[in-house]
Amino acid sequence: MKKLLIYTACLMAMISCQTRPTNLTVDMMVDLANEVVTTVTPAELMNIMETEEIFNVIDVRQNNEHYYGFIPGSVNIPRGSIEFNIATETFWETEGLYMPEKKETLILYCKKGKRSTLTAETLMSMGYKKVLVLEGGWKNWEMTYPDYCDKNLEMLAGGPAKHDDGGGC
Amino acid sequence: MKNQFSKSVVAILVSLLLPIAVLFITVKVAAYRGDPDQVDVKLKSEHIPSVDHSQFEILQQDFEHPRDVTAACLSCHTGRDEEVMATAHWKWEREEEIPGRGMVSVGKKNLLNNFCTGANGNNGSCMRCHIGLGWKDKSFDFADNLNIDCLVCHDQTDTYFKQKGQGGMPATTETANAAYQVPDYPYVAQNVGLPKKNNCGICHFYGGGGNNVKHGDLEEALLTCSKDVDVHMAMDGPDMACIDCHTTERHNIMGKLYSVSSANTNRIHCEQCHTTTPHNDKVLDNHFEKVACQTCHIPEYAKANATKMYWDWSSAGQTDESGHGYSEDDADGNHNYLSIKGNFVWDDHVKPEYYWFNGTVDHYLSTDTISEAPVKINSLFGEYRDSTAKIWPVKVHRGKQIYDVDNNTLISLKLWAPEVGQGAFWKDFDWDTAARLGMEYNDRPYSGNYDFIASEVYWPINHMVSPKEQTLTCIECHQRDGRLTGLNDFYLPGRDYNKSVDYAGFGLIFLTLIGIVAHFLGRIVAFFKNR
Repeated sequence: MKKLLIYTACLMAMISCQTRPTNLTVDMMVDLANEVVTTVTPAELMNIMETEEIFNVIDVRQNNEHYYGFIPGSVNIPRGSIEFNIATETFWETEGLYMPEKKETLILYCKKGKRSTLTAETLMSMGYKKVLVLEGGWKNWEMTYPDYCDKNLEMLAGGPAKHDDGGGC
Repeated sequence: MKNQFSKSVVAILVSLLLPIAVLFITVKVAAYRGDPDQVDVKLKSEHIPSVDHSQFEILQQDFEHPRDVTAACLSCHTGRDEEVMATAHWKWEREEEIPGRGMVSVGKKNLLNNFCTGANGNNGSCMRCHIGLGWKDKSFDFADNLNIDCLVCHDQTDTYFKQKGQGGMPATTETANAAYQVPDYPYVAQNVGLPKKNNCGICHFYGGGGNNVKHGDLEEALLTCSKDVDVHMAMDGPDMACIDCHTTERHNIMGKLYSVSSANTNRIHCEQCHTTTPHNDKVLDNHFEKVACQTCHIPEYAKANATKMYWDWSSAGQTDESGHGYSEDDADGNHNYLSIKGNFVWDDHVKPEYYWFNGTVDHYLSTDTISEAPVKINSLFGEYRDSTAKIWPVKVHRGKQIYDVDNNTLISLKLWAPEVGQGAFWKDFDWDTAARLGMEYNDRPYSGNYDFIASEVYWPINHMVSPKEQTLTCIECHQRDGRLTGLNDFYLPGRDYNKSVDYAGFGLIFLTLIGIVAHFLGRIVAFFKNR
């Protein structure tokens, strides 16, 4: 009887290991994430920005993509560091913003929507309750609201002027 | 008793297994896909000249002018000049019937667009893509056969170029610079043949002022692409040249551009090689009636380099502190602001928009007034009820362009001039002067009162055909938020539904299940009672 229980437990463990998909392509990963992630159109995002008080629009592209054009008011947290920065007080202080609570609305975007979908799945697994993804990403926003886009010209010009902190002669 | 039991077991098994078997067979049959038919045609022509042009004495002279080369060509190829001069490549216009308008002349010569607004009046720059030599102004003689530039289409050396700003002339000893040298005419003239991809691409890839700006599906990546970009032109595939599909008879090249031609004639079609039933699958082949091949087989365009999707002229003209024009880029390195042109949005790997299209097109003509915003630079005809119309993938280029507020007309701008102070917007950044001079050149009235208005132009997509593994799957259209969401004049299975019918269907399924369960329980009860 004891042996039978051990065999059954091993079998169950093997079956449970098989349920986690492996060897996926990035498109398959995005498709899987799409099953649980909610999207918003640019018009719906504009409506949120105009009507809601507490929300965060997050650009998950790399810094050097963000500077060239972004949704006004969005904060740039590249996908590679978002798990570390999203709940780090000092990061949000640097941005001059309050750290979002887990019940707050987060709207993510990237260039076309794939990176932000994967990021949204990650944030949802971290406990964020209302994570939305901008359908079609920055390119869709740019096409829909071409007059409501921003650029970081200071960073594009090489960043703020370096200070000479003194020392020496 | 034992016999009774085994009969019952068999009955239960049959009642369970039979429906499963029927379901299994149904699904298998529905999922069956035949292997596509093999294309039984010669994909690539053998572009081997039938003669060695280097042997001809007449081509061994020191030509001083490209007109002399043309004269030498025509001395053997007699009558070809008449063929060339009858084509739209030469005339830049053609008489065509537009439904509802009758016969009109349309072409690059007189149509407006929402890229650089129009060629006429900007000859130095735009007419570089004319197959003539030196269409610098209205004095260009279209009846002079020595104005034909044979070399631009037939050069095999890739060393013959028309110089920027010279209205279609190659560099001369006076105009040559680091970028454009005087061509080695004897060398080029002795090495001529059927047009290669480069010969066509030098103009057709760069329409709108840069690579892939206009078409979205025609760009320099096609010169050396993989199958992922285009199965026909792929280096690792058939490596077909433009003229392998765009077959040519007496210099009349088949397959004119849909966006600037009105009548559905002189087209080339996929079925010329692939037949109308290429899939060897009845369900897929039936789609041919209402869906263009391009719709499924070109799921996205601009697969290598980005294409321009939006062009806002209203922001053009800003200058830096010293009064000079400047540029800004987007994250992919494409200009998204130019003082001479305004703001742009570029995109790559773009999903097309879908429209009904029967091959006929209307155009905003230079004599038209604006009746709606956004202004439709062209309109594709077609609807579901039109038996000749199919669903087509389309690039829609949107923008804002200058128009005459009082006359309610789109303005033809003078954009290009060789020098500052000649009124061209690209040199002087003066909207009013550029509008006045542009309209004057085109013999159109200008009130002096201008503003900017939204406009859009439709470009049916034909190139960048994907490998069969990357074609659209059924679900991409047959679902509620699929690719065909915008086409609402017909019933599309999987997308369209009626709540009452759905409730009735689900109700019937539910009642059937209840009936099955009740019957099953009844049989069980009866079995034990009979014991």
